[in-house]
Amino acid sequence: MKHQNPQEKERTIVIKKGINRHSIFHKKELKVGQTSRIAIWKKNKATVWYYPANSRSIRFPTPLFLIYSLVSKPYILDLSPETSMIQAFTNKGYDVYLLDFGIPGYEDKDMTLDDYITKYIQKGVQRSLLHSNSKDITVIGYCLGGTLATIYAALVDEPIKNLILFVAPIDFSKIPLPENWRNLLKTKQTSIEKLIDEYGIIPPSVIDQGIKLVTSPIPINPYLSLVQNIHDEAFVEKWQKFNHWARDHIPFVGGTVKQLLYDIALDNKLVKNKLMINGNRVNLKKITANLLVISANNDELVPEELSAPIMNLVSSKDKTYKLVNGGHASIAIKGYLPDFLNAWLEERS
Amino acid sequence: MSNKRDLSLNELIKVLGKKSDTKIRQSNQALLKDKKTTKLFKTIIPHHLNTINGLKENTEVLSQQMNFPTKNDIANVAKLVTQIEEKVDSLEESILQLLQTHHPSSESKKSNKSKKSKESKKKSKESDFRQTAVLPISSSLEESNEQHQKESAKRKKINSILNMTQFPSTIFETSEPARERTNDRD
Repeated sequence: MKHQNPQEKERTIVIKKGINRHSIFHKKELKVGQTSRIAIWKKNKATVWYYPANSRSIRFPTPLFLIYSLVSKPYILDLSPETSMIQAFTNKGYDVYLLDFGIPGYEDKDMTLDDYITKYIQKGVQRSLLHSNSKDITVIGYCLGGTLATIYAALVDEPIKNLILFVAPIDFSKIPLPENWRNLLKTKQTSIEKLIDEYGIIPPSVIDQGIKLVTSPIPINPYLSLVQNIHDEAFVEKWQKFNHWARDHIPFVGGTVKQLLYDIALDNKLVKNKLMINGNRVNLKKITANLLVISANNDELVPEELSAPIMNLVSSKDKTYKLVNGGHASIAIKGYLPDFLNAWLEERS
Repeated sequence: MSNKRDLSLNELIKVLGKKSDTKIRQSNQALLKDKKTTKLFKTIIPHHLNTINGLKENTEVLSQQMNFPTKNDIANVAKLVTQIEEKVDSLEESILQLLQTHHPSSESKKSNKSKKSKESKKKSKESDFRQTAVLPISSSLEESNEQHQKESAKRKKINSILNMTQFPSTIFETSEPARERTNDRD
């Protein structure tokens, strides 16, 4: 193929070099989660990591407690120094505690939401409060972690000053589930629950395929974007790390899958205040913490309709809703705090 | 004809890629919404369940004959470890609560009244105290256990030496068992 001009010829050479450098035969180790941290509490596979505030000028007394999803690893929040949300928080003067649920094994198959809320989240928050010697705490939940954070905040007496929910699904009445699938899940509930029990834990590959089924079965645009920017070293590194994270799921324990699928997703018990955790009813009206809910306009996994309804279900006097540009994980890899978030948190910490 | 414009190869690939992506998604959604798909799953689920069940039962029978552990055996052992860890964790909590009663929250109330920079200094002092006083027991438990074992081994050695030097005649006495003898002397 003849090149039209010298510039295009040069570009082709650069692209070829890029492809050679970043080909599958030159796999390099991807370093993620590089921010220094200390483990302050461990239980089973879970760890609470402490990231001390990095600011010389100011240090906020109210620490942040981050809860990530149960299906993905939390290092998306600390992908690289340039894109780390955790570093963004610590640079502003916040002590950060991250609850990493770890990678569950077959022995954890009977764990339910009750265990996650009371034995991990509640205990983790208590230990963080003790470690920080703070009188209150800000709880931040991402995606499914936001759902867990909401259930936790509605249930316990810990001094939660602020509750921030990033793309958290709350109201499942609006999930884009076809009616025939809803009927299938309801009519075959016994068989499906038995199947989940037989598996014990849902393998990561099944979760990966499930997410692709909902979003994009054969991702073409991401690879096109990579090829077009193959000459940009920084772009390629960021792409590789994000792509690695997007496929690096963790097994999902069967006990929790059944509860999430039937109690929360199909019966929508959380929004109806009918969800029971350890014999206690979860009542969203009990949430009085300052609330900030953030949704993304291009989020295919958790559309705005799933997050926004919580605004009318809580008793918080101070509540803010924000719709940002981007996809499901966009805000987690910005590397800086958006102005509205920075201002909101500063005022309430 | 007048709406056509020349596209470079890159732009063409981009446009084709977007269109293909959209087409694939639409066909995927259509396939999922189709009732035949759900009917297929309705018939597959019980068969799949029976297959998995059968495999599991056969593995259990084989494991007894071939003498190898199954997933359940390993999971049961892991659960025991988890239970022990929970007990240690609850002990650690009790210790922390005891420490808190000895250092009540009035100290932290005083520190919160001052300015933020002073607050942070005091807080860092108190948190340092907490961090040093409140040991991360789950991680240092092994160390303290090792120290304790070393100390008790030392004590036993010293006691045995003392026993040998002070009461040499007791070595030849066999009326009482050795354990009871050392316990009396301790």
